Amino acid sequence: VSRFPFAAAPTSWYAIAWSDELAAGQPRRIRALGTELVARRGADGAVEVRDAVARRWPREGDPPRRSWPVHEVNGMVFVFHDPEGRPPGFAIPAVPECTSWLPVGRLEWTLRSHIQEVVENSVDLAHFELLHDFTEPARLVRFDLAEHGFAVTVAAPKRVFGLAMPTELTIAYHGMGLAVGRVEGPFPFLNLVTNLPIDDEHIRLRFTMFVKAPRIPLVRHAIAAGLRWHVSRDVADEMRVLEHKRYLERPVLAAGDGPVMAVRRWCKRFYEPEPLAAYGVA
Amino acid sequence: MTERRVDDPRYPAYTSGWFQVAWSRELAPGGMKSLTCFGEELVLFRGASGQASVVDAHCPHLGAHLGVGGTVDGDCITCPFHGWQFDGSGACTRVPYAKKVPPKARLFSWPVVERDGMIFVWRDRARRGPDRPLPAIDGYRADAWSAWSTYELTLKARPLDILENAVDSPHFEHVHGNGPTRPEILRTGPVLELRQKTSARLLGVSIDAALHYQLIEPGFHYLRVEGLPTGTALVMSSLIPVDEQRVVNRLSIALARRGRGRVAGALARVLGMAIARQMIATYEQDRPIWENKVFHAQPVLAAGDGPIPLLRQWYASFGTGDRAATAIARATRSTGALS
Repeated sequence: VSRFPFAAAPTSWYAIAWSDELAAGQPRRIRALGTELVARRGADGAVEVRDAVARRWPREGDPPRRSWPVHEVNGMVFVFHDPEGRPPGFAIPAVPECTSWLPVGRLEWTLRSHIQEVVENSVDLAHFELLHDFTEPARLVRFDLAEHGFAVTVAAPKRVFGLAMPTELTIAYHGMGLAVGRVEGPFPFLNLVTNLPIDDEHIRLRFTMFVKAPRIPLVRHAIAAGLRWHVSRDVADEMRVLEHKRYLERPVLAAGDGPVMAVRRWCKRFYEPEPLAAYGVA
Repeated sequence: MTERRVDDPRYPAYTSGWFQVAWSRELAPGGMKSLTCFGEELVLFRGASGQASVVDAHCPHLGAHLGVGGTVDGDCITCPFHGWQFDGSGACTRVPYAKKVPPKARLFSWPVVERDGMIFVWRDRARRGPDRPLPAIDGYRADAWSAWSTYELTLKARPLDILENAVDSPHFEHVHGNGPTRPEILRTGPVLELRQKTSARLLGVSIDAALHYQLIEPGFHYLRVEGLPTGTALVMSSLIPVDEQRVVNRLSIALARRGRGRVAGALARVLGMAIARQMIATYEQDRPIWENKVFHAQPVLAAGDGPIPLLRQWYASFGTGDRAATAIARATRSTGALS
């Protein structure tokens, strides 16, 4: 019995690798989206992703090896997954900070959860105080829903390295696989968050972090080390909660909980089996 | 591995009744323990005032497991996700960021009785309250017996597999190498009482003993081991189904107290441990059989077999038809709210 009342891999763009993990001529097998993929960078630099060949003799009735729509952007390789095989109905943006700011490290976790839990988490205002060192309940500054994305801005003082800093955090989702997190304030910070369904039980969560700072190696290493330590600590308790929680279709909510149900309704469209007009598919 | 179980609705894996989920000393004030019993996830905690409570593990808010990162604060348990607090009755007492606690914010709290150093919950398939008090152990008074020596083991079996063992006379000879034995049935009805002669090996010496069983509930039975030179030993045996495949067996062993001194106490403890070891060795002989057998609802029995049908009838009287109950429990869980 599944832990979740919906499919593991809704329609979306998903990052399957960081660009620098794919060297030309060195194909890589990647277990993701309930199957096994092979990603290969050709001599022209373009990445091609196909279903992997089964590790056994082919059988009659084996499904044909699919070729996946690929978009390489922001230092990552994305594939478009649609359970019905429809072509991409929306695009993911190039984030300018990914090229103009200083990259300060990346982190990844494999956990027993569902990507929708991570998506919902972004608007769960009440959890920031207990799990992310906000010193008071987060205030909802803005929440905008669009066809294939939403953006939420929350504000509250947050303790970072022992200092309570006024923090305004904006998370912008593009489909269910990519979120761009931006922290405004004295130390601007950008986090590219990608969610990847691996199988019916597991997901891979990746952070790629950038700060607005001069490109000096020493500065970069110092910030990278500090941030890796802080961010790993910041999400450790949350990972434990996600791995053990139960998904309640009808949660008991209180005032101040944030637009969790609105995000759930927004997510529904990515599980839709019928072609949607909005996808530009006739 | 393939599923060997054939479900017979007369003999459910989980019945109604009282089940020993822990020993008292496992839980200090402010402590908590995650439990999986009857296929459900639960949290046992003890508040500052000493009261032990068992509640459903998942917060009705957004479903976090209270036992994973949660804390006990005063007499309440605090959720690790958003800080909601619940008291031992399951009522939500505080939502840290909201002035009003939503009326539906409630955890199911399992009826708990703590007695004789053990913590019991009442389990009913429809989550009704107990229809009977927790039965007492005949003639047991804590001051007349030594402290419990305890042992816990998890078996890939169902409670009935283990209960049947008590009346399965020929296996004592064949599996355990004891002399031939016949059970003497002393009482039938809600409590099944029988005596079985056996030879027990204690500290390397073979002793003719009698096992006097009282089967009280599917969740617990006890036996007196009579005829030991040290006096009677009392063995409380609790069976707690983890899920439909596994069962936890908790053994608590006490010896009739002969003196009040420290030496008598220490001697009783050593002998208690020796009996526990002997019982564990016996269990280990049974384990491969229990873990690989199939359950025949209509077994082929021969003359000389113990009163297996009698035992099954007794077991079946405690509750049937678990499927409907599982569906109810699932529905309750997925909404997070209790009507």
